Amino acid sequence: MRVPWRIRPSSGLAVGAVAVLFLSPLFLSTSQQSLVTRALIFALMAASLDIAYGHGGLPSLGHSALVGVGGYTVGILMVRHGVDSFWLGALAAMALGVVAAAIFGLLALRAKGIYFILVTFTLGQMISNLAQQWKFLKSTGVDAIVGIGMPSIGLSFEWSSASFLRFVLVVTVVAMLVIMQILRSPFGLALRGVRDNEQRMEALGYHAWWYKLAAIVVSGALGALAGALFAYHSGIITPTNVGVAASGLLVLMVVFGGSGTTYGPVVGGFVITIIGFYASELNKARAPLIVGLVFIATALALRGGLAGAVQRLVRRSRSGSTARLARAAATVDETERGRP
Amino acid sequence: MKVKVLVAAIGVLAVMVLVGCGGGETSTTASTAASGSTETTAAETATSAQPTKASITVGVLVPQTGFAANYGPEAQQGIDMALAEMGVDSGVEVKIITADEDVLDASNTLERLKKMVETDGAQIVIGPVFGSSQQAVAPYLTQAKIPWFSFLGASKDLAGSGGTAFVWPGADQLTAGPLGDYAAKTLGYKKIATLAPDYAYGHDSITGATDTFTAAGGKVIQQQWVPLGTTDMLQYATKIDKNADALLMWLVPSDAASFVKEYRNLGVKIPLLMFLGIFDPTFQEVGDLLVGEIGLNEYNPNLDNARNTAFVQSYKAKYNAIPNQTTAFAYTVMENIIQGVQKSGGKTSVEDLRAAMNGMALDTVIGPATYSPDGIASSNRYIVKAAQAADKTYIWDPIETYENVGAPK
Amino acid sequence: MQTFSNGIAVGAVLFLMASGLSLLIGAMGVLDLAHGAVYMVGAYLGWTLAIGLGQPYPVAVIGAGVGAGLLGVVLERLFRRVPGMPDEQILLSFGLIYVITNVVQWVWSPIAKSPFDVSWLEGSVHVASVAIPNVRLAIAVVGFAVALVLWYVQERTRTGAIVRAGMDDANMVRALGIHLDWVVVGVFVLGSAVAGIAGAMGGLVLGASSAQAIDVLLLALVIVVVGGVGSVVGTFAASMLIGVLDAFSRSLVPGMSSVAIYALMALVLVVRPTGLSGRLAR
Repeated sequence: MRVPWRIRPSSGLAVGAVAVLFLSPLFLSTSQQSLVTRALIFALMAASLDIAYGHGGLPSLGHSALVGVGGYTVGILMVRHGVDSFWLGALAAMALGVVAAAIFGLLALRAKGIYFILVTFTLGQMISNLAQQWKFLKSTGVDAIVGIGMPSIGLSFEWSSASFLRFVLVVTVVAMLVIMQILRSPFGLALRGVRDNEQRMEALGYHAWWYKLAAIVVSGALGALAGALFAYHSGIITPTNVGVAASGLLVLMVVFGGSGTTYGPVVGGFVITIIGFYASELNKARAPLIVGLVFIATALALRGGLAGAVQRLVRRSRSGSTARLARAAATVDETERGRP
Repeated sequence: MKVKVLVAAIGVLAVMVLVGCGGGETSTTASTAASGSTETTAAETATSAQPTKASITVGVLVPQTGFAANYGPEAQQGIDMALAEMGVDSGVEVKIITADEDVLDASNTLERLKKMVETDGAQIVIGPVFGSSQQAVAPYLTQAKIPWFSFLGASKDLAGSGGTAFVWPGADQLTAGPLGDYAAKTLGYKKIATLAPDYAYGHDSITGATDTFTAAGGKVIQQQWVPLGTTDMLQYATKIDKNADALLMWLVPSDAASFVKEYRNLGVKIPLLMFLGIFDPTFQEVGDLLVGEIGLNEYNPNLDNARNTAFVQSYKAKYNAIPNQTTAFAYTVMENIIQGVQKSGGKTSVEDLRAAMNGMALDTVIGPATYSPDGIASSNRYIVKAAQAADKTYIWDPIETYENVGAPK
Repeated sequence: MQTFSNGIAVGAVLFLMASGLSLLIGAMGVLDLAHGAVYMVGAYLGWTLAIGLGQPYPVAVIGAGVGAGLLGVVLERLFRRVPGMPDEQILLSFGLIYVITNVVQWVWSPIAKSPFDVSWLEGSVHVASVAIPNVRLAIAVVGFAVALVLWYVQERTRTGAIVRAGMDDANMVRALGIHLDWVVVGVFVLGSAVAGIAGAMGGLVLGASSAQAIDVLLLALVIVVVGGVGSVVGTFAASMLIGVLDAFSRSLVPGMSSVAIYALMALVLVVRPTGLSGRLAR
């Protein structure tokens, strides 16, 4: 058991990282600020996915579809109906995200294990194909919703790349605090219980199915929020942003960072976005090769992603001090990082 | 053991990434200087002949990865050739920076463009090529007041009041027009069926041809739109309305080849009207199935004009191959940019370039061309017929020329 | 009737794409999402042998199968390092997709290859008013042959019995002193070889392109979901069903045709969550 509210090194680092990011416009070029904003948005997408993926043991390969619901919602609201309020847009995006995630969950939860992965994979692609073929989801003469502008947040000022970065950072941090609070709550504990031993939780009187559905719904709502930010930032949302390649990328972010951990997915989402961008600067034609090798190496050498590697490092350094602490750390690791 | 090797590999990769990452600005200036120097040596060494009047930075945003990864290197060849030929006397020093157009995620393309413009200082952009990328970058380029040259077509809505695009060789909505006109007036077809992909470019180009066909009294009796991601063309080949006099079609080369094979295997005899024909090298693989069919070309290496003959010859000398449309049009657009900047006196704003290029008589590899006040090109289109040349290769033989196609009247 | 036969013809291609994947997921519990990439390598190998080197087509198909089988050995060496870890398997799979696709573009250029020209398979057979291209018949014949071989190996041989037992309880099989490792390698090679053969056969109508790594994977996954994992009969039935449904949806609801097969998949899931064959995946 860990002591609540003692300041842990990880929390300190997190606060430090947020502070650095908040100040980053002071030392980054405007295009780098834009890239960091994008990386933050993907970090939030990955974190929202991990609620179901890591903590719920529900490995979804169709999360981008739920993200896309958010993006398309704010896009259509702004372009067709002139609704440019961030608050209304985000609310509508999350509301529709909840509905879409519930339908998604109702279908996907009929399957288990690897089968669940396959089902979410194909459901996600169905949504992408829908966006490709349904006129309602296209601007005139384009296969996407285009012309999505910056949102208004009720204050009158002109967005700059720096202010939008800070805004996205604030939204991301708030969303992360909500996610952490949810996962720390009795609901979160029960959810991980269901993930680790469904029969036992059922025997204890928990309805496992409802916990899983709730995890998918929360994951979908926050994913849709990230999708809304994505649409505002990019000005466009296309069927490929919703499709299977995009979903796969989100899973890679989660797994790369370490699924089922507190900070792993957020770090994974951030780092992979940056790696993807600069791999192309390194060698344009061979960039996918570089990124692919990073993934393969991570899968084989860093069990449990970055978070797993950090935990092992910490464990090793602690083993020098007291054996008792090390054992405690190890047990925390195991319970924290269960697998689907 | 293996784990250690892997960890070492990750280490190396991480260092590579960090070099790219941490260095941000320094590494990019280095790389642009490197890529720039190869292109600009001609201009620099030639300063004795004529002093450099203007210096511009051009960003090239074309796919380097994904299913269209060949576009990047092909466009680069054309740009290199234009710079090598014009650099000496043009008086315009051109610095080239390149980035990868992400064909799957348009928002990623936008991110790369931002770096190109804000950090690397691109003043004019060549590309992007694909519709979704164009739609994603157009609002940003409009806001940043950066002119961009789409060298393989674009929607007319992205030029003029709709954006800062210069569209070569003409607007998507009009470029295929001559094919419908030729089908109705010269071939005397009354009823046609159509086949194209179910996305904007497919709809735009086919509609351009059916508009002129119906205007000349013809009737469109069937339209099939192939959803994105369709790999199997059998269904579409068997469903062609047998009452049609001809099938008007455009598909990407590999799909077009699949379709034509099914079509021939099924023994369907309806003549084809192929917008853009089928490009090489795919055309060489299916040419025997197409001899005698009619197409419409924007570029064609067999065009008989002095500019094109010279271009094809110097391309052959340099790359030992026949240039394709991507190379030829990247070459043309690079040349047009230099001509425009020469005339504007080194100014690169959208207004200055539009004013400079408006009505300028251009002599290009596809014959005479002009740009409209909105920046949309009017140029020649060629009705072509598939044939086998004396050396056994398959060619699209130009049989009729339509002039001044591409800009709205 | 033409639409129906089109559907069967498309279904035969789909079966070849999906059967190897179904075997790997079902028998091994390995989420080998790089299966589409293996198919793609098979298609390019088939192109090199049949068109590039002008070998007879059967040689090209066998060569593609052998090449893909060898790739299967490599995949097995990699996947065995992450047993029972879906996270790492997904990460590894996507890494492989990125790497294999990029290397294929490097070796064969990014320009797609058009459907392979095989002169003795040109033309089509006309039965009443229905036209069936010869290449489709060839694909159907190979598809049936593969189905028979897979079915026989899985249901009628000792190896198959070990595989099926391993699906249910790997530890028990090991306890019986059976070398499951070799069986695992064998299944990987077989599954990948089938993908390679599928690539070379599919090349007759689809050519070879770097987009196939994902496109083929998607189609194969839908079929595995509808058919149920690890069952040859289920995969076969699902392929035909999807092929026919796809053909009809393209002629009846062209505006929504690419959504139709996924809608069918959702329906199957609601009715039978474990797919047509009803076998539960691990």
